[in-house]
Amino acid sequence: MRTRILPVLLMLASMGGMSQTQVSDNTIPIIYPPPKVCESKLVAIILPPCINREVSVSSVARLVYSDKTCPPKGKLSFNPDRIGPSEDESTVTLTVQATQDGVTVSTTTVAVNEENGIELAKPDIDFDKIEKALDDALELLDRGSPCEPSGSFENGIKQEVIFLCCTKHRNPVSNGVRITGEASCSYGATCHFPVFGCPYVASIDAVVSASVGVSVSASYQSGCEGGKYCVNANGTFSIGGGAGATIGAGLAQARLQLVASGGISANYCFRPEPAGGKAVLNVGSLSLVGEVSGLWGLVSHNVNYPIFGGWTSPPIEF
Amino acid sequence: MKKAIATAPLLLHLFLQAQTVKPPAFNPQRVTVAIPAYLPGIMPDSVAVLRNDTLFYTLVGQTFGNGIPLKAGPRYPGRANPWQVMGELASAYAKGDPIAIRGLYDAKSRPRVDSLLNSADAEPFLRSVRKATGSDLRLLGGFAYHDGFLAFSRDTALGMHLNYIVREGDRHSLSALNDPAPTSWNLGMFYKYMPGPRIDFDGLVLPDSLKFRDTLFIRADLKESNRWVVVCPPTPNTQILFQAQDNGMNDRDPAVGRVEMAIGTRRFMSPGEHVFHVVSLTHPVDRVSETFLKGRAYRILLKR
Repeated sequence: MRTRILPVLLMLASMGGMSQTQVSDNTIPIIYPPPKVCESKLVAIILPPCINREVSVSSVARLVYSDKTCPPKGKLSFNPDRIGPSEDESTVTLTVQATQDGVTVSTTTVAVNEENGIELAKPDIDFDKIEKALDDALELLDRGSPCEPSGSFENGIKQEVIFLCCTKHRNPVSNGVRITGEASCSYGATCHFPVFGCPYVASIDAVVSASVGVSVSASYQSGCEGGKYCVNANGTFSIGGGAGATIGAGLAQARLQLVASGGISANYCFRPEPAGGKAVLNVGSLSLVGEVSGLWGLVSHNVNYPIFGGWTSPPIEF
Repeated sequence: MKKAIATAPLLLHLFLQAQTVKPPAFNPQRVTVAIPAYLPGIMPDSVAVLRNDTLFYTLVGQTFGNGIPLKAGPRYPGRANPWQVMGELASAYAKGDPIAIRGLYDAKSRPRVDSLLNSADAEPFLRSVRKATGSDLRLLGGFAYHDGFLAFSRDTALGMHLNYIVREGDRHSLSALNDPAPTSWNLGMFYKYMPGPRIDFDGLVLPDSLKFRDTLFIRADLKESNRWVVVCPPTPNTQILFQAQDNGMNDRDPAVGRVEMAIGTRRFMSPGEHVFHVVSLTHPVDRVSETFLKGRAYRILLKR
């Protein structure tokens, strides 16, 4: 019987379910090994090298004990117990203490406010080249008198250096960039030129107005891996006009419209540097459409013929 | 004898006047009219055959080269053919006679003529037609067209005129024409410009290179006055680079028969080597014809 009970008792004792010594129903005492005394202490607190939002320390801290297998059971407290970025400072170094069983350890981390930025110079967006391309297109139409240009340019692009918390980087607090805002140009020109293609008059004065607009809108914040940031620029192009003449108080009359099409496509890459854009301006064919009459309207013609065959600019870098 | 000598010039003058005021015999024949398709304003026309940059019209009519003078002369109340209508027109125009002018139009067109003659435009109209007959008005030619006949005339003051003539009973009359087809327009462009021969400039002295956006000066001596000088790229159907007319548009040299052009080199659109041709024509053009490329090709290097 005894020999049967003993192994069961030993097993129960090893499960910690019994007191240190057990006395069996006979007189021979059984000596068990002394229970282990847990003397593990808190030796360190480890925090991420940086944080970029408010967190409770307990959710991000890792605690190191002298004996991993036997953590102390005393109350653990952190001071402060929540940490986060400063509203005013881009980066701030925080010291955090952990206390348990009378042992206090501390460490530091960097709280990064990724919203704060240091403004850089605006990107140098050279819209002049787009204006020049339109000028070149109109130069093909121009047959003597200069065109009258008008234009405006606004650069509301803001570039800022920001600090990023990149925990996997060798230098966890890294530089990034934020680009926001819009830059736009609007450029137009009005040209007068003679149209020779009317049988009743030497030439008709035609007026053509063309305008090109390009806007680049940015909303970007780089991540830890940096990379490429390109946007499609919003491009508009319009061209049109008319030609009219009344000769000899009505002997000949021309009522003509310039019918044209065209467009501009553009994109702009802010990163990688150097920033720059590419655009292609396409001026479609230009036709005169309308009615011309002679002999005070007794003879009239429907007119539709091209005066400009169309032109596509080489890629314009701006 | 002395009297005979004195009267001889008068007789000669009357003889010449009788020669010039009488309309030509109406003798329409099958004719081919060749119109350069690169004339300004020429519209595509399925009636014509396009061959090597030229529209060929096969028509029935008559052409008179530089024209036959149209002046007030003998009356042809029967208006037996279109040329007699044009003779009557010259007489009515010369007098600025609104009733006679109205009487030349067919019944369908008279409301429009009445509207014109009763409007504020009547006086300028009559003044202009008198001016036309006093400015070497010439009959250039005419062609059967639709149900009628197109007659082209020109004077030195107002340019080219087109009249449409229809048969109405036994007589021919002027009629209003509202033409949606391009044929009458294209023939009008032909008579406006009466295109003459092309001259290629093969011996111009031009720089080998210039800086891009500098000015290229081209000086050309013409064999005739009032001709046009056209600078074009070597690609047919593209835009010309520049054109100037002797003593007219873009000519910087006031001398007759000599043209100086100042061409901004950005018309070439980019730096690099460019090829171009220079030709002289009797008319302006809107686009490059393959015929302009038969002469010497000039080269210029435009440096950045």
